Parts: sequence; structure tokens; C-alpha cells
Amino acid sequence: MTDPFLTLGIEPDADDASVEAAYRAAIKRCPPERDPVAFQSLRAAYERIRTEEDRSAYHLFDTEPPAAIDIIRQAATQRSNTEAARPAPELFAALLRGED
Amino acid sequence: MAKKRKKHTVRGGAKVAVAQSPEQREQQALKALATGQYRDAINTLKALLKEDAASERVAERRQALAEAYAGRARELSAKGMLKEALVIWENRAALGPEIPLAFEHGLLSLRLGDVEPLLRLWSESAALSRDERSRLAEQLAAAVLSGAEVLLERLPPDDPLCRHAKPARAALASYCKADEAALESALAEIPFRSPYRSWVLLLKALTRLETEPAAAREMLARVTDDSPFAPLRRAAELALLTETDFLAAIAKIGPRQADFAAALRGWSPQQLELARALAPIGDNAAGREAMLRLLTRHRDLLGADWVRRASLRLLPPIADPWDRRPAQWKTLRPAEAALVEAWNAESQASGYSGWDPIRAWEAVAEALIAEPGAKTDPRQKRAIARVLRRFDARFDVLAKDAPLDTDPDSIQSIAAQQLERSLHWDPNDRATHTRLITWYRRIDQLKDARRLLAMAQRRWPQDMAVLDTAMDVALASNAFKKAAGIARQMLAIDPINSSVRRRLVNAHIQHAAKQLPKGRDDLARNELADARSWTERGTGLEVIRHQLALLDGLVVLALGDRDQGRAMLTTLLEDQGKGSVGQVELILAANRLALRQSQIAQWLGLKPAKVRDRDDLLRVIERLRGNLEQSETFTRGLMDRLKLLFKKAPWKQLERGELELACETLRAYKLNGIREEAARIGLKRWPQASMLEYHLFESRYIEGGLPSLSELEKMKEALERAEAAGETRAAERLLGLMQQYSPFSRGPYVDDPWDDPDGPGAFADDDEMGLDLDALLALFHRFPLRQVLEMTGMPKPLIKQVLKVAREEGEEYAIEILIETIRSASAAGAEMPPNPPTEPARGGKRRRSQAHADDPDDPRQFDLF
Repeated sequence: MTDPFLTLGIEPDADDASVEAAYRAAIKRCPPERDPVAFQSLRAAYERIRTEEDRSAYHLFDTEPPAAIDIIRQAATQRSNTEAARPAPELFAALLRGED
Repeated sequence: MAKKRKKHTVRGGAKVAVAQSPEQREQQALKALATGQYRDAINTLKALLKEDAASERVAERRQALAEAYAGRARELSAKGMLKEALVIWENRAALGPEIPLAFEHGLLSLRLGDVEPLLRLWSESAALSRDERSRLAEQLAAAVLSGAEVLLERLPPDDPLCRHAKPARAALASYCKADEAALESALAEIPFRSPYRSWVLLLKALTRLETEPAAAREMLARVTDDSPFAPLRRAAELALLTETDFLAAIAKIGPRQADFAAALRGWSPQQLELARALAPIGDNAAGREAMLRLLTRHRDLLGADWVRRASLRLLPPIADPWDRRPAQWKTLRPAEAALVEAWNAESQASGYSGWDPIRAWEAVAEALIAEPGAKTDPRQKRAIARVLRRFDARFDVLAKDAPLDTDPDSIQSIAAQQLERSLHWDPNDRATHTRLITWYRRIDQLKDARRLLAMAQRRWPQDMAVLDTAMDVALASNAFKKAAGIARQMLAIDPINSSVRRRLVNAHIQHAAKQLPKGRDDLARNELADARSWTERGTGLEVIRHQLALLDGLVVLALGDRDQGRAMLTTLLEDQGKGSVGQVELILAANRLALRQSQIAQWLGLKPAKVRDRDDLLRVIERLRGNLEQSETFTRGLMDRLKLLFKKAPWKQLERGELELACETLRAYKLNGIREEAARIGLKRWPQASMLEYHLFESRYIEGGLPSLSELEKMKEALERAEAAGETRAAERLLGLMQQYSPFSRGPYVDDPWDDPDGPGAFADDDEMGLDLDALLALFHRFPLRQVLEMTGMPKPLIKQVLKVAREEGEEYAIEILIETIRSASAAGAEMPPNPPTEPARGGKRRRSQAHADDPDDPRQFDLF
């Protein structure tokens, strides 16, 4: 099970409204008809931390260690500037040369 | 050494080959070629071409040698030995003009910086088919885009490869700069039949990866596997995987592909590096430690706060409080450290064991209370309350059906105290109010129940759960008017709530029963009239209405006009038709009023009914089951009548499911003799029925006695059958039964060890008396401390002592001391002759000798601690 806060891209001390807003924004980007798997994971994350009681229970009683994907997501949240999500021309050339 | 051996083999092979005819050698070479043994094929064919140059088969042999060279070159390329592969390709090309230059040769040359072979291919392409020429053009296009500038210099300027190269490169530059308009315009300059058409597809797909993944996937799929653009397609497809799948794929793909896909996913190089480091980490204890180290190492990248929080869940469990903590503990706040301790304690506890977790959660609460803001921050206050509620929430110790332990030092009492404290921090938790009220009602602390109820009713005056609890308290206090008022309130909110009506009716019936011994039939009738008034509306109350009529008749019969009562009851019995259900109804009604069954039967002139056929039996069982919802108190008179009723009952006419249900019913009524008979009859027909096996043994020994070894063996077999058949309930029950009768390896044959006049020492030696300390230790690991102590039959004062030590010093310590004490006593008593094992009387309870009370060696007088 992944960290629901990271899945929704919110801070651990988010309130109900922020959770709701993050969920709505996320499912707009990932509607169920387009990416059902991603939608399921968003929905599961939302269900886990929807209310303050849920969030508190998560912080206090959830003992699941962080998943590898959580760590990657967390690293992404710490980036100060968002670099362009495009590979450099050299990478194209290298792959065309057969360099895997 | 290996090299020498290899050479020797080849020479040996050649010697053998010399002895063969050229035809045989050719066949051998072709066979080697077909089976992928290219080196052997090359050696043989080369030798043949040299030695048998005049043969008519030279052309075929040269063709075969070319194939063998190609195969070997591909082998070497796959191993990354590119230069060696190129040498082989060159050997192939040198075989003569009838062997056309291989496409792969040209590509490999290009990759190693030589464009000549490809250019030669292109110059000779007129001889190729349209399809081959098109593929070659695409290869050259890919070569141009991979940086082979020289190709453009050597090709005619009007060649499509040259003409379309500029927009193709411009498209790449625009894509990398995310200039969508320029990209579109550049791609528009590349015609549909251009050698760069796959490039166009790829770039278009890349721009749609995020917004239209399905369309992108479909476009990428159009770039075929043999296309020179396929490596780009494969790398782009990695960007379409889920994050988890991509993480799993990282370990299996090349670094360039990973870089490309990671960039498309918007990952930074640091993220990719982290992912590569995470890939080999497994999901086990070692993996957790590795992950903990990794997080600590990347603290700057991940954020110190997050790393600290995530590390909490990776810290290894500390089995022993004195063990050294990992270095990460130093960074934890006291509340966080306490939280980790609580998680560990909870993960190692089970069921009712729980002094460690209850203390650990208490420590978490204390640590949270000590934090700044605990008294002012509402969220912090609620968190404290949640922590205080945790133990009960996790282990359900105050459940409605949990066995009661009213000892103020019991786990239940401590859990209730924690719930009380939680209300101080979060008085708005309704569930905690109702849970505590129910608990106090169950242990007859009605004053506390009413105190909390008043608080709850002020907060939630119209809440059904609170009203429900209030009604229970009112009924427990015999406050019928109050209960009726609450019931009206509940029915106003939920008019079809039959359970409210049923509970009120039952309460009135109970009250009516209390009037009879006082001779107040008038008051009893009033109670029954009140009860009847609650059954006039509502569904599913027909049985209660009929029972109320019987109760009326019984009251008249017992205390009023006997003839009138007799007439009333006779009519009601006749209404029930043939069969014994009518009498069962009457028996149950008399039971509810606590009337003597034999007296009633005498007054009515009734002969005891007996169940005679299947339908009658099923109806009686159904009625008895229905009665369980109304009353759980059974007088001896009722039991006697039921025993007569079921004497020689036709159990064998029931189906297996019906019989199992009947056994359950008999179990609830504690009719164990009848149940044993029913189960025994059932097992004759269904010898594999594990649940019937359970009923047979449980009913046989529930009132005392111990099963024999063969019976235990049968239970074990039944347990295995139940597990194999997935009959979870039967398996659980059989397991419980076996544990009850064999807590130790020789359990069933050892009389109560604590009854032994020589104390526990006499049986503590494994070989002498059969108490296996290892088995005992295993039980401590598997079951809660209290349960194991009770299983041993240890005297209650001693159990209390051990539990007290467990509370104060920890369970591990208490167990250690207990085991040591038994061992020491064993050593002290080792020279005593072992007592002959005493056979407990079958069917009788294990009795504790009164003589022990004054015995200085009586274990109950031990002060172990």
C-alpha cells in the first residue's frame, strides 16, 4: 500500500478541504475511463485519509513501511524547479545507435 | 587451461573430419549451422572450400559459410563484442561478390564510425525489392538522426534522405524545447512516404504520452520491431507503464532506456538514481534495514522530516527493552519513539494478551500529552483520545460478548479506564460513550453507566445508538416506565423497529415472572398486558403474541382459576395441531415464568411429548432456536422436559446440515447427552463430518473427564480434514478443543499439576511426569498469558501473582520467572519418586483437594515472586 498523501500530492497535515480538492484535481487528470488503475489507486488513497480521523489513524496506527514508489514520489516533491519532461537529443541519438 | 582444452578439442575434431568424405563433412557443417554451432560450421566449411575448391558444390558451401558468419556475428553483437562482430561481418563480405553486403553489417559499421558499407548498400539498392529498399532507407534515416553527418555529405542532395533530414532534425530540436508549434510545422514538411515516417510517428506519440496515453500507445505500436526506430519505441513505452511497473522494470533495462523513460515521466536524475538503488531491495527484514540506510543516505533529497516519519515504520522491532536502538532512534521525538514501541508491542501481542501494548499505548498518550499544544490544539487532543482508545479498538476487549473480568486490575478494567480518559480529550466521540455505558451496564456499575448516559443524551438526544443504550440501562435498572418512554422516542424516529418492541416485551415478561412467587397474579397480568400492547404493531412478532397468550393462561392456571387456565391453555395447544411443538411452546412459556414444569403438566394432565418424525423434529429445533433470541435462562425443569422430548428422536432422518444445526441448538441449551447421541448417529452416516466430530467430543467432555489418546487422535484427524476442506469454523473449534485437552505433550494423562501434593516440581521434569517446558513456552508464544495460565489449571491466586508481575515487569519477565521457578522446583524434587498418574473419573470434574489448603507445599501457597 502506498502513502496516500504522496499519491494525492498533499502535505501530511492537510485538512479535509485540501484532501478533497487534491482528489478532485487528480481524478480530473486521471479519469477512470482513461486510466482505471491510476484511478483506483487515487480512490483508495482518498478513502484512507478522507477525514481527520482517517488521517490521524493513518499517522498513529498505520505501520506499513514506505513503498519504493513513495520514496520516488517524495523525491519529486522536493524538487525546487520542475525540469522539462523531455529527453535530451543525445539520448535519442544514442538509442538510435543501438546503445541501450 | 580451458583455452588449451578448447584448442585440443577443435584439433581432435579436425582429425576426425579429415577421415571423412567432403560430402559427409558438408553434411556435418550444415547440421552444425542448423543447430547454431556457428564456429564449428565456419571451421568445417572454410576447410572444405580450401581443400575441395574444385567441387561443384562450392557456391552452396560459400552460401552456407556466409550464413554461419552472419550467425556468429550476431552472437558476438549480442554479447557486446561489437568489434569482433564487425570482423566476422567483414570476413563474410570478403567471400565474394555473390554474397550481398548484409544490412546489419552496414549498421554495425555505422555504429563503429564507418559509413561506407551502408553507402555501398544504398548505391546498390536499385537491385533490391521495393520493400527492402524502403527498409534500407529507413535505416539510413535513423543513421542520419543518430549523428552520421557524413551520410548526408555523400548522398545526392535531392535524395529524400537528404531533403527530409532538415525538418526531421528541426522536429527533434522543437520537441526537446517543448515548442509544439515549431514541432508541428517541422513534421508537416515530412511527407507520408518519407524514410523518416516512423520518426514522425514517434515524435507525435511522445507529445501525446501524457494527455492521450491510449492514442500514444496505438501510434507507438505502429513502429515495427524490425524498424531502426524500435529502440526509441521501446523506451517510450516504458513511460506508459504504471509507476510500480516502471520501478520493477528499471532493474531489467539498459541505462539509456531508463534515462529516456525517466525523462519522459518527468523524473529527475536523482529520482532515477534512487529508483536504481531501490530496485534490488527486497520486502523482508534485511530489505527494511537496507531501505532505512538508503533513506538516511538520501535525507537531503527526500527531506529530513519525511525521512524521519518514514523511518518510524522501518525501524526493526525491539524484542527486548534492553536491546540497543538503531542510530535513527536519536532523531525521534519522545512521542514518535513511544509510537514505535507501541507498534512493536502490538505486533507481538495477540488477542487478550496485552499488558505490553496497553502500557505502550499509555506511554504514547503520555508523550503526546507532554508535547506543546496538547491542551490547546483540538487535533492533538483528538489524537491523544484515539491513542487511548487504541487498545480496546484493536483487541476488542470491551466487546458486548467478551467474557467479563471485573477485577479492577484486569485488562478490561484498565482498557475501560483508558476509554474514560479518552473522553476527557475527545468528549464528542459517541461510540466511546455507548461502549463504556454498555460495559458499565454489563458489570453492574449502573451509576457510572447512568453518569455517562446523561452526558451522551445531552450531546445526542435523538441518536438511535444512544437511545438504544439508554434503554438497555433503563431495563437493567428495572426502570420500565423510563424504558417505555425511551422506546416511544425510538419508535417515533423509526416506527418499524421491531427489536425495540421485542426487548420491551421481554422485559415485561421478566417482570411478570418476578410477581408470581409473591402471589401477585394481578401485577403479573398487568405486566403481560403491557407487553401485549407493544406487540400490537410491528412485524415478526407473531411468535411473541402466541407466547403471551400462553403466559396469560399459565398465570391464570398457576394463581387464578385453574379450570379457566386449563381451558385457555388446552385451546392454545390444540391450535398448534399434531406434533410436539405445542408442548414445546408451553414448556418454553413456563420456563419464562420460572414455573415448575412437572406441576404444569400435572394440572393440564399432559403426558410428556416425544419427537417422533423428521418434520416434528425440525419444527421443534426451529422453535428452540427462535427462543434463544428471547431467553437464555433455562430451568432444570425445562432441561428435563427437553431431554424427555428428544429421547429416541429420529436424528438419522435429518440431513447433515440439519443435524449440525440441531447440534448447535442442543449446545446452546446445554443438552450435551442428547447432542452426543445426535452427533454419534450422524457420524455413522457421515464419518468424515468434522463438525459432528467436534460436537461428539465437546458434548462428551464438557462437563468433565478427559479424552483418551485415540479420541485425541480422532480429533486431530477431524481437524486435518476440516482444514483440508476449508471448514474454518469446524477447524477453529476442533483446534480450541484440542488445546483445551492437551496443553502439554502428555496433557490428557496428567492430572491437574497444581493439585499434585508435591507441587509443580514433581511434574516439571519432562521425563518424569509429562509437563513439557518447551511445549509450555510454545504455548506462551502462541496464546495470551492469562489463557495459558488458565489452561495449566494453575490456582487463581497464583495466576493473579503472575499477571501482576507481567503488568509491572513485562510478560517476558513473568514467563521467565515462572519457568525458572518450575525448573528449580523440579530440580529440588527430582529425587522424589514420581507419583503414579491418576486417572480422572470419566464425566466428573477435576477436583481440587481441600487438604491442600493447609499443606505448606501446596503450590497455591507459593510466593514465587
